Amino acid sequence: MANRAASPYERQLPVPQGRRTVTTKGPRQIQLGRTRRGPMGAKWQLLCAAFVASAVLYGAIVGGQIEKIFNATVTGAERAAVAMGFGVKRVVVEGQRNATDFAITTALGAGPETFMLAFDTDAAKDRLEAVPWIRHARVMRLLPSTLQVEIEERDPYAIWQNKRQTFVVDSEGVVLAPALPQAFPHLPLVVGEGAGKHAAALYQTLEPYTDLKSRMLAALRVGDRRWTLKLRTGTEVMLPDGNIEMALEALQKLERERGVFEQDIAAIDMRLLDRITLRLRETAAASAQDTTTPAGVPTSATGTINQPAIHQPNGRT
Amino acid sequence: MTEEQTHVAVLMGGLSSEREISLRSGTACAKALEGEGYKVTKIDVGRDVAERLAAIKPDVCFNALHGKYGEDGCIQGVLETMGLPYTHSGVLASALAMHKERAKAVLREAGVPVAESRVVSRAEAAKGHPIEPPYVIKPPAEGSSVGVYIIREDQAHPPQELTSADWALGEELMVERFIHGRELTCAVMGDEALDVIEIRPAEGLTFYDYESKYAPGGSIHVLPAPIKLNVYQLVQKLSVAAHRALGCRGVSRSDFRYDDRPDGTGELICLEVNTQPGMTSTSLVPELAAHKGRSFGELVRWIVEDASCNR
Repeated sequence: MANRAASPYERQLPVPQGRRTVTTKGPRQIQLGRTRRGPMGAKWQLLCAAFVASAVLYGAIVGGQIEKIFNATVTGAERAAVAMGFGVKRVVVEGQRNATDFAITTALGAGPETFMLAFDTDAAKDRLEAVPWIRHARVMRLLPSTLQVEIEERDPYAIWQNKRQTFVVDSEGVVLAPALPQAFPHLPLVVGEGAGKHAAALYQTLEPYTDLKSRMLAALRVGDRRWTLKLRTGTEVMLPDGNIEMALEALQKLERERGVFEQDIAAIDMRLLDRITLRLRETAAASAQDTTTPAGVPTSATGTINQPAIHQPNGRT
Repeated sequence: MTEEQTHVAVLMGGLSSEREISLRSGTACAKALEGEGYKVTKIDVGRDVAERLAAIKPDVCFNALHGKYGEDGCIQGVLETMGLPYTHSGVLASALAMHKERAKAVLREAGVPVAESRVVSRAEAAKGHPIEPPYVIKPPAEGSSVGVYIIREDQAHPPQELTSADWALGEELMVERFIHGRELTCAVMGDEALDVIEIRPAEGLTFYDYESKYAPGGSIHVLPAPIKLNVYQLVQKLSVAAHRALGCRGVSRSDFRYDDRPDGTGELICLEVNTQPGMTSTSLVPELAAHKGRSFGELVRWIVEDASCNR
């Protein structure tokens, strides 16, 4: 990426405003909020905190609200600790490829005002694992002010198009993000209800059929029960509900012996177990305009075909 | 009478050797008819069919029977006698189409080309080739392809089964010249020819897994058939001509052979006309209707609405 700094450790990331894709595999550092805090600022905050604490303590003693004061004191102490340099200043991320900085920092929920020791790493792990791209996450504190995040991402498997929207999904059909097919040109395109979930099973079955795979434009899931393969030539291969391997074997044989992939065929229908139906395109069906009449056909038989019948239906119910 | 109240009795099963396929046709049609809003009663036809029909008093009988008694005019005669409107062809057309040799005489007269044939006794057929091979032996009045033997050029003798003691296909046999070439089929619906399908035996597509339902004798259907346009139209015209010549009603299906091999005879021959074509949702006629944009439900609805007596 053009705007990436030479060393990720030196880079200062602005808080992302939108989604971005990062492809690095190495550890990255996400800098949060202001990066420089002078020693004078810290002292001033400490003085203020001490003043507020003593004022609140006085008020509590007078008003008898000591419990509230205790809590406030803890908060005050945390603030003080943050002021002394125990706030989260850096987040180092390992394993990030497709998850965006925005998604990670939002899920992490830590900022410069977060006290390192009070930060709940288990809750942060759960929030991170709720990010679609992230399968597993691990969050560790590196004192005084760094959070180390290790993530294992889900692998994008296919582009799933459904109801006019496209997503990138993993091999289990988990929707990882909205994505256009162009963003992942190496991924297969699957279309229709349930297509994302069943894509991996289909492509595992298709694995040995490299010729067929290379000719495929998309796989369409029909009624969430069977597949139709759309080839680049426009031909559709309608597969049965079950016995896909056998149908593919028959298709390969049909291609080897008759070269069906290169013919002007609209559909190769393999849904029925005992037959294959080839539906030709109109152009292919009517291409031969030879007018030689077959032998042995008397001309008396070839009257018009659309005359009304002698018998009309009657007694209709 | 509103459509919702129309009570359709689907006649299926029956007493013929094609009972199983009829049960499949009937079940599929009954389901589709229910989907179309009809009140449907399925009747597995036995000798008591008249009593059962008299008891339920349907508005229409949907004939999903194949073979003997269902396709040969018998059930049609019962329904005519009872005054119950029914689907498909009537008594005469059914009986005529079922008897292959007599149907040929009518078709030939109407200008539909048919293969030369002779009716011979079983003894004569067994003694030596009644005609020059290749030829086909079939019982003259059985439906479907029951009991069809093909004798190739290189066969020195008629099939030995002809002399077998448990021969069950009758003493009269039709011996017909074998026609090479493409197998074509076309359906007629009312007065209109549907498209033409070519059926190719899938010899090159052997399925080795016998546990699956993939039949080793599976076929490849090519729709529309990749033949010359004028031949295509001729098949459609001949199908309508055959439908009319036999007096068929509703839907019928005609099977043809077209010998367009480079050294072939170039002939187009009508093999037979089926007055009770298969009616599962995946049969040829529904496949052809679907190609014309009619769903299976629309097809069965059309057939029911076409039902009548005096067919």
